Amino acid sequence: MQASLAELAQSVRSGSTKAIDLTRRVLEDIARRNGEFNCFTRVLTEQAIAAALSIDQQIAKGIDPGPLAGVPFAVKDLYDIAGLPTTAGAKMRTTAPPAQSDAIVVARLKAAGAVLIGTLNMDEFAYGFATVNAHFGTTRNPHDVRRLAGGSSGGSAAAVAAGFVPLSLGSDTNGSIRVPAALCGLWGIRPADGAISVEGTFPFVELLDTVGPFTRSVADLQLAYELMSDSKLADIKIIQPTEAPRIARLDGWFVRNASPEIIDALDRVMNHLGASTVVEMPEAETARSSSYLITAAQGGTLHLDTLRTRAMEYDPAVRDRLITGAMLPYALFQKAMAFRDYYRERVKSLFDRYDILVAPTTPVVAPLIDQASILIDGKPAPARANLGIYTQPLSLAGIPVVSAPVHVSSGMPIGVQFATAPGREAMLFTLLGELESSGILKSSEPTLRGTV
Amino acid sequence: MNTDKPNKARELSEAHKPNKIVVKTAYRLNVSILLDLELPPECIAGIDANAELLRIHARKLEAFEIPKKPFATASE
Repeated sequence: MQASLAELAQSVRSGSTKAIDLTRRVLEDIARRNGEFNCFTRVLTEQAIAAALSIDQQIAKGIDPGPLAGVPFAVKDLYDIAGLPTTAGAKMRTTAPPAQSDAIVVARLKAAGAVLIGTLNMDEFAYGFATVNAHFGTTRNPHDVRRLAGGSSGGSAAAVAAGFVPLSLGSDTNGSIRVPAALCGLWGIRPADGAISVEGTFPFVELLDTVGPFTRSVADLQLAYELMSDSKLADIKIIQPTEAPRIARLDGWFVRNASPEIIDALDRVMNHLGASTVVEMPEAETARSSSYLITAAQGGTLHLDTLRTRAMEYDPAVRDRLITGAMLPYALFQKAMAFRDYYRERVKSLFDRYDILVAPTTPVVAPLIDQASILIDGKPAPARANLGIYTQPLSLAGIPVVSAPVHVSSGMPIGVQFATAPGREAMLFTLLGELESSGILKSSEPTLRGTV
Repeated sequence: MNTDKPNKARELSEAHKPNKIVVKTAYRLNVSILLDLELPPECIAGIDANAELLRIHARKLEAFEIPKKPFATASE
């Protein structure tokens, strides 16, 4: 699945590829290889074949199915799909009433001609950075199946990295798109708050939830982003600077616990940009803590009624997090919210001086599935909970952030975050396109390592 | 002479450390009273581990005094 989304769609639109043939190839590939990675939780064979046949019929009649004609895509298991229960990665929800309609962004991609192939594994209720799910199993990293794919949108990342589909959708509350994108060597975007509708997705933390795509190139990412947000970046009226973007690397918290290989990749990117400015975001550590507490409190509150009657049906790891979060004092939640307001203004002021802020996505490359800890401030700390130490402060800011894959000639993938102010997404995509063209940012092909 | 006795006493002592009892009771009370939720015994170790993480973050947040004005602008 090497062609870009636009090339695939053009091939289908021109009639040189039949959507049904493309869809059948994908379905056969999933049947043959999904067991290696455990990406898909449901494969929608009949629905996908019907959609592909419909695309081919439209083309036969001279109707253009749209810019994603025949392009296969799959979604994290928290998007509503008409006629199916939305499981959110929870076994207890496999018998929930079926969704009445597709989530808005699923409908938008279908309207653009894309063919929905199936649903993808995730941490239960999106509460995790690992995609280790007690009910649906662990999703393995296509670059090394002994390692985590990241989470909570791990199935979405692994499905693209393994080459099953060229486009998948995930959700990002604290880093759940950016972390798996980085660990699996992909492009992923957390949009600015409100830029893409979350309607029709199962909520986790209302104040922080966003949805976005995973792809293998920045052009694909931009196309998917524009279709999902129902807006062309070129049409958005923004004040474009007359000079080159002002770029700075985030210092302090954002590099303190990064492993040497992560620092090396970040340095290579900054050197390539010719950017030597570093900037402190002094409250980043407090921002991470606030994000952590808001997540625990809102997640716990959302699930409290269900916990009272069905606690033992949850994934035990998620259940214990939710119960603990539900016990947080309200005063603490209030302070976290007050900090959030303050911090957003603080971050906004940074963008008076800079256009793009650069930081690592994760402190380490993908940990081994059974790896308990990583070093944080010189002490062992839970590996999975700390994969989001650099994504959580940016989530709290509500700004658009892309995790981009840094080209690595060997070893596991590494991601770098590029954050900008809402309204400057076009500038960000332009810069990322240039960096991809130069080869410093590049999605890497998995060369399978390890055995299950 | 029963030579096992001191060992048994030690085992009993280890198994009934007051802090463990206090922690378990506190969680049960908290969960029962605050959440109206019957706490499954299997949850205690997980809640304990998660509570420790939340405590760390709560302390960091509590230590930060939010300025009355968000921040000084250049003109100020």
